[in-house]
Amino acid sequence: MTLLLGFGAVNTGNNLLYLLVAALLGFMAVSGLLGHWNLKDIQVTLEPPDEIYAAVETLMRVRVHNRHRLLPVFLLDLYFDAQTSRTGHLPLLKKGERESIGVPITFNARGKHQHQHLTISSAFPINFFVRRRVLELNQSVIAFPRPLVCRQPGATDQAQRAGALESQMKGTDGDISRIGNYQGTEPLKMIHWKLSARHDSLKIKELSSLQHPPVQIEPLTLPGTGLEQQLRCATYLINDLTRRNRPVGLKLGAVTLPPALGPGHKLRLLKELALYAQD
Amino acid sequence: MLRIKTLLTILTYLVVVLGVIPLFPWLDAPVQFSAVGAFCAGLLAERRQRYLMGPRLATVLTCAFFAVYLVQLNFNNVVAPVVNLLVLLLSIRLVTEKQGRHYLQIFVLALFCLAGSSLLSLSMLYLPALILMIFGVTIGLVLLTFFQRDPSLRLSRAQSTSLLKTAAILPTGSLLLMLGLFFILPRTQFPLWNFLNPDAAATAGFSEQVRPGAFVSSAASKNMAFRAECEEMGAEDLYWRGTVLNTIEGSTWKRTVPSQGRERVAGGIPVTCTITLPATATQFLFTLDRPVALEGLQYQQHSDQVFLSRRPLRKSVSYRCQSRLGGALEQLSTPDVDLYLDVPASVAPRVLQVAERIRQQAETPHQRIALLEEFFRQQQLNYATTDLPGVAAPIDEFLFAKKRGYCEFFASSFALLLRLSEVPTRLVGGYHGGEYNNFGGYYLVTEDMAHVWVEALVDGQWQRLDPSRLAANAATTLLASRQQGLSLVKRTLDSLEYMWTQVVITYDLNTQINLVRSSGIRLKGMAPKTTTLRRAGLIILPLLLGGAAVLWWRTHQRLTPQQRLLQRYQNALQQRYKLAHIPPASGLVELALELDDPRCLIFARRYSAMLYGKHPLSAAEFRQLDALVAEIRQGQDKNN
Repeated sequence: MTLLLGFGAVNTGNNLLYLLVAALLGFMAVSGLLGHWNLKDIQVTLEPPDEIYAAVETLMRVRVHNRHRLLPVFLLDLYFDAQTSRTGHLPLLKKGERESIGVPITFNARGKHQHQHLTISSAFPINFFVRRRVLELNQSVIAFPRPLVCRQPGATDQAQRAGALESQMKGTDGDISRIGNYQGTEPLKMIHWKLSARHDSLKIKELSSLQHPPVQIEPLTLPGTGLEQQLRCATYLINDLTRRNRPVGLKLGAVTLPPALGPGHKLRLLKELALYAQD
Repeated sequence: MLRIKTLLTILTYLVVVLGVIPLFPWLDAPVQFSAVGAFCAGLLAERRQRYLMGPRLATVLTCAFFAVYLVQLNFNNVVAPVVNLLVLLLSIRLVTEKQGRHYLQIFVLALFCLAGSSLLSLSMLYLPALILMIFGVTIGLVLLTFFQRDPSLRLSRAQSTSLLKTAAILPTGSLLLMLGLFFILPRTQFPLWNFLNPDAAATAGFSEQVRPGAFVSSAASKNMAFRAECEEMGAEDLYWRGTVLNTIEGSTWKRTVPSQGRERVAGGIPVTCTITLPATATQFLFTLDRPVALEGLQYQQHSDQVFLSRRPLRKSVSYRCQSRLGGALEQLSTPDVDLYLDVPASVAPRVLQVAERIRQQAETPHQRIALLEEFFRQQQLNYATTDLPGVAAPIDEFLFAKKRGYCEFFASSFALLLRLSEVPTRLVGGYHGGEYNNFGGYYLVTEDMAHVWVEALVDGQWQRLDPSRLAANAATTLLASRQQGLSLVKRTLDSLEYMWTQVVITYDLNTQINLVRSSGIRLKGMAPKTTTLRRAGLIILPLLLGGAAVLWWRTHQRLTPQQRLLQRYQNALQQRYKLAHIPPASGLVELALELDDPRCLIFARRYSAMLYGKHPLSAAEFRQLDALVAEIRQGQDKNN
C-alpha cells in the first residue's frame, strides 16, 4: 500500500500524498524498532522439573524476566523445537517483572544437556512479520533414560513376595517376637490371656512386621539388546519399585548404591543411569 | 476487564469516520446516504452481533459497484468514481461480519479514502485528519495483532493502559519521522499524473479584462487571492500589480502584449516580498507595484512590468518579488502611442464634450489630469457595488446618470477621458489593500480587494492614478472595506493556513534543491574556528561529563557493595580470559572450575557462602576479595 501511495505521490506531485507516504514509511521503521525492542533485554532461566526422560515430551518451566526499564513486552511465544506447534505463550509482561510458563521440550538422548536453544518469537507490534530470537541457555539439564517396560528375573519375583523378610520393627502380621506389658494402646486381640492370668497383669504378644525385601538392580544384567535398552529397563524398574514402596538399590559398574526408599534416592539412581558411560 | 475486540471495534469506526469525513462533500448523494446508513447499521450490528449482510451478498454488491463506477471512469473523471467506490466498499465491509482480515481491509480502505481526499482538496484540515488517522490505524493494527492471536482475549484495565501506552509509540514515532521523511522523499519536476490533482479555482475578483456594466452588482468573495510576506507598509502603497490592459474594444478593456517600448523602474524604496499564490486558472504573477524582478520560479516579463509564469499555476507557488516602493516607471524607448491613445469608435457625446473641454483648457498632461480629477470630484461620484450602470452606455451612465460604480467604472471612464484628452493611458489590473497578519508577518489579499487603476504617460514616466480615490465616499467605502481588521481567531487560523501552504503545499523539487544548497552553505559557514570550537568544547564537555556522572550514579545507586564487587569480578574475568559474555545462569563455582584458576575458586566459594547467608562478609574479607579481583584483572600468574 505504501508503495502504491508512494508511486501516486511521485507521479502527482501531491504533497498531501507525500505526507501520508512519509507517515507510513515512518510507521514501518518504528514498528520494526518496536518489534526489535520487544525481544531485547529478555532474560530467560530454566526451571527443569525433577524428572525428565529422554524422548518423552516434558513441560519445562521457563522463567522470563523483562529487563526493560521502560517497556513491557507483548505476545511472546517460547519454544525449544521449531517443529512443534505447542509453544509457551505470554501475552504481556510488565517492565522488570518475572513470570514462569511451561514450554514443551523433548530431549532425544539421556544424559547431561548443557546447552538448550530456546526460541522467543513475537508478532508484536504488527502481525505482518514474526520476529524471532534464539537464546542459547547454558544451563545443565539431566535427561533420564526413557523407561522401557521389562522384568528383572529374581528381583521382581523376590520383590513381589511380600513378607519374605522380617524386620526388627514392631508389626501386626509377623511372628511373635516377644511378650510385653500392655500399655493401654495396643489392640485387645494382642493380649495373651493365658500369660496375663498367670502374671496378674495384662501381657501382650508383640509381633514382628514383614517388609518387602530390598531389590538391587544391576542394569547390565537386565534383558535388552544393548546398553541403552538395559538402562531404560532399569529406569522402569526403579520407577515401578519405588512406586510400590520397595527399597531399591543400584549396582552399575563401579557405582553401588544400597537399596533405600524416597524420592531423593530414586533421583540419585536415575541420575546414575542417565550419566552412565557418558564420558 | 476489557475485551480486545471492543477496543478494536471502537478504533475501527473512528478510523472510518476519519477516512470518510474529508471526502464527504465530494461524494454522490446516494453514496453519502449509504455511508451514513452503513455506519449506523454497522454499529448496531456490532452491538447485537447480527449482521445485515452475508458474505455472498457482499461479494455480489462489490462486483456491481465496481461495474457501475468503472463505466464512469475516464481520463477527465478519475478521482470522483474511485472515491465513491472506495466509500461504498467501506460501507459494505461495515455491515458484514468482521474477522481479522476484514478489520485490516477497513483500515486500508479508510487510508485510501483519506489519500483520495488529497486529490480533491488541499485544505489544512487534512493534517489533523492524517494525524488522527495514523494514531487510529497504527494502534488498531496493534490491537488486531492481539485479536488475531486470541479473539476472545480480555485485558485488565492496567494491562490495557500498558498496551495502549506502548502502542502509542508507533504513531508518535511515525509522525515524527514523517516530518523528516516528507522533506527528503524524491520528487519529480514534471509529475505525469498532474491531472489528478485538485482543479485550480477561478479567481472571482481579478479578471483579465475590464468591462464595466457587465454585472448589475459585484459581490467578490473573501477568498484568498494570495499572501505577501513582507514588512508592514502604508495602506496607500499596497497596489499589487497583475496585468496591464491597453486595448479598448467598445467598452471592454483587454490586453495586447506591447511590441515596443522598454520601461524601467527607477528610484523608490527597495522592498522584497515573498508572494504565495494558490493554484489559479491564470498565469499572472502578482507583484507589489513597482516590480523590478522575481525569483523562485520561471517567469516571463513583459515591457509593461507584467509578469507571467512560464507554466500553468496548477498548484500553489511561492516566489520572491523585488519592488521599489514609490519608484518611477520610466519609458526608455518610444512606446506605441497609438495603442495608448486608441479610443472606441462610438463614445457618448457628453463624454466627448468633457474631453474636448479638458483638451482646450489645459495643454500639458499634468494639467489635463488635474482638470479631469477636478471633474470627477465635481460629479460627486460614489463608490458602490450595487445598482450599477448598465452595459449599453456604462461610462455615460456612470458619469452623468447613476454616478455610482466600483473601480472598473472609475478607472475605465478616467482612462477613456484621458485618452480622449490625448494623454497616453492604460489600465492596470490587480489588487489594492491587504490585511496585515502580525503573527505570520504577511499581507492577506482577498478577492474582494481586486482593483483597477490607471497609468498615464506623463513626461516619459508612467504615473499611477487611482480614480476610485476621487469618489465622494472613498474614505468610508473604498479603503475602509479593504482594511477591516481580522479577528484574532481568523488571524491565527490564517497564519496556520499560510504556514501549511508555505511548508507543505508549495514544497517541490526546486524547494528541495534549494534546501539542500542552503544547508550546504550553512554547513560551510560553520567552518571550524578555533575559538568557536573552544567555546563549544567548554559547553559540551561539562555536559558530557555531567551526563556520564549521572549515568554512573544511577547504575551504581541500584547495586549493593557486594553486587558491585561481583560486577568488578565478572569484568575482571572478561578482561583476563577474553570472555565475550558471562551467562547470567552460570554458577560462580562452575565457572571458576572451568577457568581452572584457584583465585577464582577462592572468590567464588567465599562469595557463594556470603550469598546463601552462611557467612556474611566482614570488612577485611571484602578488602581481600577486592584485592583478589585486582590480581585477576592484572593477570598475575595463577601459581603466584
